[in-house]
Amino acid sequence: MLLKEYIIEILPGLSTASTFLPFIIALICINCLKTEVKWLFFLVLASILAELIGLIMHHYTKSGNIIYINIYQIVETILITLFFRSTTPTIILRYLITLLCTGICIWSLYFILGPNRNSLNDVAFGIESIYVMIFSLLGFYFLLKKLQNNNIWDIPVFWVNSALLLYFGGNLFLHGFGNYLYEHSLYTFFELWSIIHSSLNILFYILIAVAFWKTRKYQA
Amino acid sequence: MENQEISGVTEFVALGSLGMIVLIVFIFLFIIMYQKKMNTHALQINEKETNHQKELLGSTIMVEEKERERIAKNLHDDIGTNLNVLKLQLTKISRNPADKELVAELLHESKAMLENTIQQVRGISKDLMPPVLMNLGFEKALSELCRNINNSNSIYVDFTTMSEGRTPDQKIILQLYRIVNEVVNNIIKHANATHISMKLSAQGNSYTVLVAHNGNGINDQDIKKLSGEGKGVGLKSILSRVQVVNGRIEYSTHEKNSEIKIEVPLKESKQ
Repeated sequence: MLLKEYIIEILPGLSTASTFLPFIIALICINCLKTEVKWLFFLVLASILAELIGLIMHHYTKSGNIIYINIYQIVETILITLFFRSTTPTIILRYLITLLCTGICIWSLYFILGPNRNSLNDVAFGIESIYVMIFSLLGFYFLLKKLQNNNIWDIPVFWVNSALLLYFGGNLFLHGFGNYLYEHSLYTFFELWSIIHSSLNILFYILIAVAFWKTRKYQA
Repeated sequence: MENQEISGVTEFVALGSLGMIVLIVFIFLFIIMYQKKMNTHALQINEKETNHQKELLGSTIMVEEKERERIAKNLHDDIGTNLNVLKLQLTKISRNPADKELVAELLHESKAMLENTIQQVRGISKDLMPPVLMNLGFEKALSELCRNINNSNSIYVDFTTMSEGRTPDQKIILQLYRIVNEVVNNIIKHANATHISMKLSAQGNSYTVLVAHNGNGINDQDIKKLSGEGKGVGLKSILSRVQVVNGRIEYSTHEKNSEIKIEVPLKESKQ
C-alpha cells in the first residue's frame, strides 16, 4: 500500500478519534467547565454526537450524513457564538455577535428545510468561517489589550482562538476553492478534501484539548 | 489533460498551504507582540513600584528626621533650659552658703525643677518606647491606649482581642503599635467619629488589627489620591511603617461604618 493511500485510509479514522481527546482532557480537567471554554466542551460533545449519528445512519440506512453536518453547523455556530459572547468585553460587539449568529442560523435552517438539504450548505459554511475568523482575530486583539497573564501559552482562550482561526481558515479555503478543484479532478477532490479536512479536524481538537488542559493551571 | 489536472491540484495545495502559513505566521507574530507588550507592561509596573518605594523611603526618612527634630527640641528647650537654671541655682548656693533662707528657697526651687525635668525625660522616653508596651506587651498597650481615649470622654473605643495571646515578633510590635496609634489619631482628628471598635485577631501566619469607626471614612482610592498629591505626612508614615514590617493595610468605607484593616506577619510568641 502506498503511503498516500495509507494516509487517506487512516486519516478519517484518526480525525473521528481525535474528537475524544478534548473530551477526555475535559473530564480530567473538570474545572474547565467553570470557565468560558465550557462552550467548546459542548461543541466537542455535539461533534462526537454528530459523528456517531452519522456513522449509525450510514450503517443502517446507507444514506449520506450531509444533513447531519448541516444541522451540526447550526449547533456549532451557536456554541462558538456563546464562547465569543463570554470573551467579548464590549456590549455592542456582543449584540453584533448574537445578530450575526441568528442570521447564519436562520439561513442554515432555511436551507435544511428546503429541497437541497442533502447537499452541503457551502454558503453558510463560508459565512460561518468568515464570521468565526473575524471574531477569533478580535479575540486575539482583546487578549493583547487585557494582558491577563505573563505567559500567553497559559491562557486557554489563546488556544481556543488559535484553533478556531486555523480550523475555520482552512475550512473557508476548502469551501471557497473546493469547486475549483472539483472541476479539475473529481477523484483528487475527494482525496484532498478528506486529507485536508481530517488534518484540520485533528489540529482543531488537539488545540482545544490543550486549551482544556491549560484551564488547570489557569484556575490555580 | 492530465498535466492540466496536476497543475490545478498543485495550485490548490499551494494556495491552501500559503493561506495556512499566513495564519500560523499571524499567530506567531501575535505571540511575539503579546510577550513584548507584557514585558513593557512589567517594566512600567516595576518602575511605578520603584518610584513608590522611593517615595515611601523618603517619607520614612522624613518622619524619622521630624521625630529626631522634636526630641532635639524637647531636649534643648525644656531639659537643657531646666538643667541650665539648676546649674545657676547651684552656683548661687555655692556662692552664698551662709544665707540659709536663700539656700532653702533655692533648694526648694531646684527640687521642683528636678522633678519637672525627670517628668520631661520620662515623657521623651515614653514617646520613644511606650513603657506599657515594654512592660505589659502589645495587646495590653493597645488596651491601655483605648482606656486613655475613653477617659477623655470625647470618643468611645471598644477593644476586643481574639488572638489567644499570639502576637507578632518583637521587631514588628513597636511599628504596629505606632501604626495603630497613628490610625486612631487620624480618626480622632479627621473622621468626626463617636465610636471606634478595635479588634485583634491571629489566623495562620497573619496578625490582624481591624479598626472600625462610625465617622467619615476613606478608602484605598482616597489613600492613593492623597499619597499622589503629596498630602498626609501621618498617612505616609503609616504606609512606610506597614511596608517596613512586610504588612498590608486596607482602607474601606461601608454604608454605616468605615474600616481600616492592618495585617502583619505573625511569629508565634506568648505574651
